[in-house]
Amino acid sequence: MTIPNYDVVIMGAGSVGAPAALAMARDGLTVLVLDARPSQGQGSNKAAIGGVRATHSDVAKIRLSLRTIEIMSGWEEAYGQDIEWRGGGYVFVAYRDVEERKLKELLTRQHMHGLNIDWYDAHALLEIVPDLNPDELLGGTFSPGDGHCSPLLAGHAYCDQATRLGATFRYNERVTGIAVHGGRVRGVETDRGRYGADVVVNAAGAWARELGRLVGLDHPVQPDSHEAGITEPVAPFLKPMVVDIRPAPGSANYYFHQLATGQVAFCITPDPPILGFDCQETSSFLPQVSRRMVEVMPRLARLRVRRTWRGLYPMTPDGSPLVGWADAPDGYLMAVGMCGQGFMLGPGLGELLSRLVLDRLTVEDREVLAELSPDRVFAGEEVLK
Amino acid sequence: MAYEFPADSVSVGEQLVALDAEGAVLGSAEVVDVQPIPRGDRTVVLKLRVPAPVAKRIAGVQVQGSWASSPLPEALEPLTDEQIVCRCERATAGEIRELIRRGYRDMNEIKAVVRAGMGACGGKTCSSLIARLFREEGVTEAEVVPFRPRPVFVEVPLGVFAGTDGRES
Repeated sequence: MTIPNYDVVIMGAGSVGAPAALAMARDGLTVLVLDARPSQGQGSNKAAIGGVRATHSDVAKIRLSLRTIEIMSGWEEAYGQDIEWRGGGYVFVAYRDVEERKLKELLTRQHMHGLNIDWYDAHALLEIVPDLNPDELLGGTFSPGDGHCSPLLAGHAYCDQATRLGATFRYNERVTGIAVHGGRVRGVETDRGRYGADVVVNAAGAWARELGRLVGLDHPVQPDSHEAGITEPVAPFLKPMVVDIRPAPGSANYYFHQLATGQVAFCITPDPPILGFDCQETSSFLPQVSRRMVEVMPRLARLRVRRTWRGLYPMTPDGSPLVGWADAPDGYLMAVGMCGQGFMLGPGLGELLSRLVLDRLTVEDREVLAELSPDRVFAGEEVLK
Repeated sequence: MAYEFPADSVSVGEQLVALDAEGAVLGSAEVVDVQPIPRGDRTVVLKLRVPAPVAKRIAGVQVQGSWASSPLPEALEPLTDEQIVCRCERATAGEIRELIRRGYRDMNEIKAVVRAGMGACGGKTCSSLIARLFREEGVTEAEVVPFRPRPVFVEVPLGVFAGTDGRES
């Protein structure tokens, strides 16, 4: 009996798997994407609120996100599909000396990487975000090159284009085994069939660890859950994503922005983290996040909340992804542990994965991969998660 | 009992069928008072007289005749392409039908692409109409993944959760 053969099987049709399939199909590879859920992006991709920034502190994330921004901002022109990209930038606000110091320290490193981000005093920042609470506002950073995009539309757009270029997506299909012979990956087994492949990519997000076990590897990826919400739509009043990194009881930072369709989407980082796969909505989220949002932007008090949900951040010990070939078996490629940034890293990362498979890496690619190496020693956490 | 129908559709002295939380019939209930909620929406409060053992188990009253749950004598006409299926987001039957014909079976995916179910009501109206479109296209219920229901079910100002009662602080 012959089984269907592909150059690459990608496990997971989410924020990494979908754009990776597109990049690989465009580069001439035959690609099969398998996902246990009923359709594209139904794991954590649809839970993302859509913020996309290149203003990180590490070179790998900066380069991958810069490329993502190019792809997203040029998408409509290239493909004629609107994915609601809006280049409104990011504003990190400072209401205390400690945050001002932290953000300014980071600026030095961000300028070293050539990023378009600067410090604005309170007066100048209020011109960018007029609705910020001016009381005790010290200022903040603004990075006009960043923006936001619809994770729902973008995910589908990647799949549509990948399919057009010959990639195959199969849903409701769970990978139950990875075939290895002579130290090499030969394909995968699912609950519905078998597929041959020279390369198997783990892009399974929060579920990456259980799939890694199929080849005897233990990826240090542990999901924690963040809750998000969205309001009714209103006329445009807010262009950038607003981020407040002050800690408060029960939470670290929180952030919100106005979507292209007028709703305000918001999210908070629980502290301590809530580990595990539970995605049941809570009754504690809205009181917690609303108090903080209304404090920073009093005008939001009148805006009505429409919906809340929870999604998973696949976290690694140091807050950076794990990307690269496994030592063994040959042909097993990890693209895991996006730490909640899969949507902004995915498109840039997808292209890099394709070059990796085709052995066409650039010098810059090698630097990125060195930083994200799954074999690295985990040091401290990134300054700005 | 909260009663979310026009006040003039029920009258004092009328006998209604009382139901428990599962929808099982508890017996007959006499309407003794019909009061609108001050400043409220169109909800009215019904005061009912029933035997004491039944009183605490009442969760609702039957407002539809049995005809409402019986099959219609003939098949409904298919929805036309320009008919609005999701009123909140103005998604049409035609848009959704096209996705079904392209192989979409997950209502959450339909929602992601054409926004049906993403509006204020959270899919209360469109979910049954989308189910009807699936039937019209010959797709069985078993193949269809329903909407993932999420809170909140009524829109509430952020200020209410923030403790400022919906006003700017």
